[in-house]
Amino acid sequence: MEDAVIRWFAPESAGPFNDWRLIFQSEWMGPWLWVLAAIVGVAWVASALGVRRVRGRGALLALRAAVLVVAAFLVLQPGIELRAVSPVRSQVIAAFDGSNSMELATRSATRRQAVLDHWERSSSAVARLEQQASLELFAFGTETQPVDRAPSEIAADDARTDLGGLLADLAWQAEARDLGAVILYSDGADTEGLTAAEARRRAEQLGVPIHAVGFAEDDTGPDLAIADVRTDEFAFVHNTVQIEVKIEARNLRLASVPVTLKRSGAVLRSEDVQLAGGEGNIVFEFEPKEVGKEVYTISTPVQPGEVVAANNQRSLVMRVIRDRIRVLQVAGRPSWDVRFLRELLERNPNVDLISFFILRSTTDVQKASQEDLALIPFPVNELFTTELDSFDVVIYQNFSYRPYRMAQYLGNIRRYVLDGGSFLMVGGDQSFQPGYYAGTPIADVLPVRLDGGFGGTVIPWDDASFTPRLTPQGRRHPVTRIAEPGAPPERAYRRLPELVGMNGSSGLMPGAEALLEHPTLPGNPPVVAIREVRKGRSMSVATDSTWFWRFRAVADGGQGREYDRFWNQALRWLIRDPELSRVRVDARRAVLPRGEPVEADVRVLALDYGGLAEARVDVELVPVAGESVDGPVPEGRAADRTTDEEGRASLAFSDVAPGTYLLKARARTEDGPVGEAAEPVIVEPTDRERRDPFPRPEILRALADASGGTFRTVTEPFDEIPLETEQRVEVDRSRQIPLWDDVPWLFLLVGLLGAEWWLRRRAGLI
Amino acid sequence: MAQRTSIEVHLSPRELAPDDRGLFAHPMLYWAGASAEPDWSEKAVRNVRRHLTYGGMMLVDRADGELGFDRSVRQTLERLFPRSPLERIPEDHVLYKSFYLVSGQAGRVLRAPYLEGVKLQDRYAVVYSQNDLGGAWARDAFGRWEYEVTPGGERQRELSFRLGVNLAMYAMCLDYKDDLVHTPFILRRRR
Repeated sequence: MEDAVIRWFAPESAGPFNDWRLIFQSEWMGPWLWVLAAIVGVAWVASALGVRRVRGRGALLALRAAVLVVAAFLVLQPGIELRAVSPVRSQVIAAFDGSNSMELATRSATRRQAVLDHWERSSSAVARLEQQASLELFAFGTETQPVDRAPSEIAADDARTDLGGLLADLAWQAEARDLGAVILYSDGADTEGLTAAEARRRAEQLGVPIHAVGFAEDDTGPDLAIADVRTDEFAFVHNTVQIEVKIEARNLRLASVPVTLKRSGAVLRSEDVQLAGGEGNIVFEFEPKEVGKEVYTISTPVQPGEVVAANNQRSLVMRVIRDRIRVLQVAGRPSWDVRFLRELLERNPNVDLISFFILRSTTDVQKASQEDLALIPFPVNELFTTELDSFDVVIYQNFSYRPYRMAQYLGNIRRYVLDGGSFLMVGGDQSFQPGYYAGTPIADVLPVRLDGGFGGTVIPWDDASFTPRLTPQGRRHPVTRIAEPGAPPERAYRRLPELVGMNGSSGLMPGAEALLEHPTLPGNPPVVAIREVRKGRSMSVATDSTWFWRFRAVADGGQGREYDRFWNQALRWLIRDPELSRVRVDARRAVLPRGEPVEADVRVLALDYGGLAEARVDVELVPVAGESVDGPVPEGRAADRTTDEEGRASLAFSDVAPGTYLLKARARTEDGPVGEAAEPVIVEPTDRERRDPFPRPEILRALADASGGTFRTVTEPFDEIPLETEQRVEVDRSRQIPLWDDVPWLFLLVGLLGAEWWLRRRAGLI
Repeated sequence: MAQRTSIEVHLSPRELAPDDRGLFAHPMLYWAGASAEPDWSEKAVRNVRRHLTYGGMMLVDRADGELGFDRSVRQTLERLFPRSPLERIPEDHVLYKSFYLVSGQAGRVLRAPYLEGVKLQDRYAVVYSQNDLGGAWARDAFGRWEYEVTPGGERQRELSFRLGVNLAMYAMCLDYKDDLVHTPFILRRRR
């Protein structure tokens, strides 16, 4: 039949053509206009049914149908396409897992070797397959790439297994070509979070049978691993936090294993975990003690002969924040200074304020029974022993410890500060030296020196008024920068009411800085001073009249904003609010697998806390003492950058050895140092492949089941590789022969229309 | 107050006109009167309004039995805070427990069984007593009580002192005694 058609239309040149098809060459109208024309035409033909004379109606119907057919023929422009076609072979892809987990041992050999053996033993089936289809080899890991060499030459050194990426590339191949089947060799240990359910969905979408070859779940050497660690990204200081740890043991006969939790290198907890079916879980509970980022490491001992030793340890960085700032305010007596500070602290929604005011003096005369008083005992023991560490800031406001027999607790305050707490002493006639603090443990941690002590010279409380003077440090420090942005710092203090009353001191303690000083007293004693004492901070405000800045300032048209700014900034400095730092460094990832670059962003802020351009930033990656680092830190672990217009700079360190590091950034300008910041970074001793290297046959099985393929382990070679494909052809040559462009077709149409007109006239329809 | 509490007291009170900017050296004001007073000037109203808005407190004390001062007080407070009218202070408010546990009213007389106040945000910036607290506290130059206290006699005078101490404590400590740490002790003593 085909030959007859080809010879009919191409009697002289039929040779190269072996196929034909009917085509329509019209390009006049779109499909909706075709439908409309067809409806109109059929309606026109059908209208002949309404003719009354029965004999004429049949003839009219026939004539109109003939007109419709001939018109359609002319409009559709049919033709014959003669083609020279050849069949195309289907494609089969054999994808080999090139990740480095394939170098891990099975019970007999490495996984890679087991795959090569399977390929060899399936050579007959592969050979038969190649007769029907063209076979292409691919290797996959981080990316999927075609390879033009034997499977034995495909290296297994990739640091990732991205089965999802492989499926995406296969889908692209299936769209471009006739993909008849996929042969997949892998351990299924995807590193990019592919689940069996997702694998099933993706395989269904692909629509090409996947014949997967993998490993049984227990076909691995002995290994003990921290398989999973779960915790929140951040925790609240002094609140219980949990770290959930999952332990997996393969081919090891262990009833229990010890698991240790370390914080910054120091052992926090260590417990035995019972293993059932090779799995065990433990939940570590503890309370973070400090705000900031803390490094936690979970580890379990390496067992003899383990396949991967590096996955016996996992580290994480936890960001510890405050739920609310817990402030203890202890005041020696009610006063306006106390009242306005309490009011400010209470207004702050982030502050959880515990106040204790001494409402009675030791010499007062009371005409009421205890039952008529709303007074409570001062819970000295509770506050300064068990609860002390729960406070972020402790404020002694014109408070003397002596009447309350608190000498024994002053050492606790010292320890609290050295361990990271913040202590603020506000002046008054019961504070500093008049409060008998000289020579006490508290004096050790104050920013100002209290000489004298018992029997020494006491610097008296000075009642004179004064306007405090900014020191050079105070001009830059956020605590004393209370002027509006852009205004000279000194002007704000000159405009504020004078302060009244001053606690003298003998200067600064080592490491302390005066921010405001007395302008006229001998030695210009500090009015406001700060100090970093080991892990803690202390601050002294040597007057009880800062409330003048809040209330008296209103008489001169002010609104007390300077007072609010001063104390809010003081609070933020005391609690080490990171927002108060002018240099910030952020590691884009705090924990990263071996082999991946440490990337960091640095932000440098100007005095007005806008971005500081053109600042020089020196960044170092410094190993943390006490944390394990595999091998020496490579050279070139420091870099410098210049900030852009927004005060930002970015950088990356590559080839960083595993370990725990501090990413330190120091910024400076031509005027001097701006500040510094640090952030912990962990480079894990294992890459993603080795973290959870166990075979995952369930992933491969899901791919096979959902795609209509097969799953087998490397112990079962292919007898036959099924190939499902539709036969496709490739057109080498074609010729189109129109059927409609002869003049007689036009004459025929005109004739038929004329006959239709004549018939209607004769029937009296015109 | 100096004898009974730890508050430091300036023993020589200072008299100031309401339009005096010197008011801002004294966060607590005491306004007592026995008869109708001239209307405050606009400057005085602005000055006192600013004082009270930014943290000050004013105790208003009606000394006489006539309504003249009461009318002056209400008109002045209406001008000071038109959107915050005088209201009765609840009996369980913290100022009744800021130092003494006080229930009921006190003063030289007992004209009103309540205190009134003007509340700004969460605190009473103005407290108005119609019971002449100052009359119960007053002594003459020889230290004798200046006025008789009725109907409760010396017990009522003592309660007047206690209420006065509480008002000063409230001005300086605000809602300190509403802190959770105090609640169990106070509830136990109230029983």
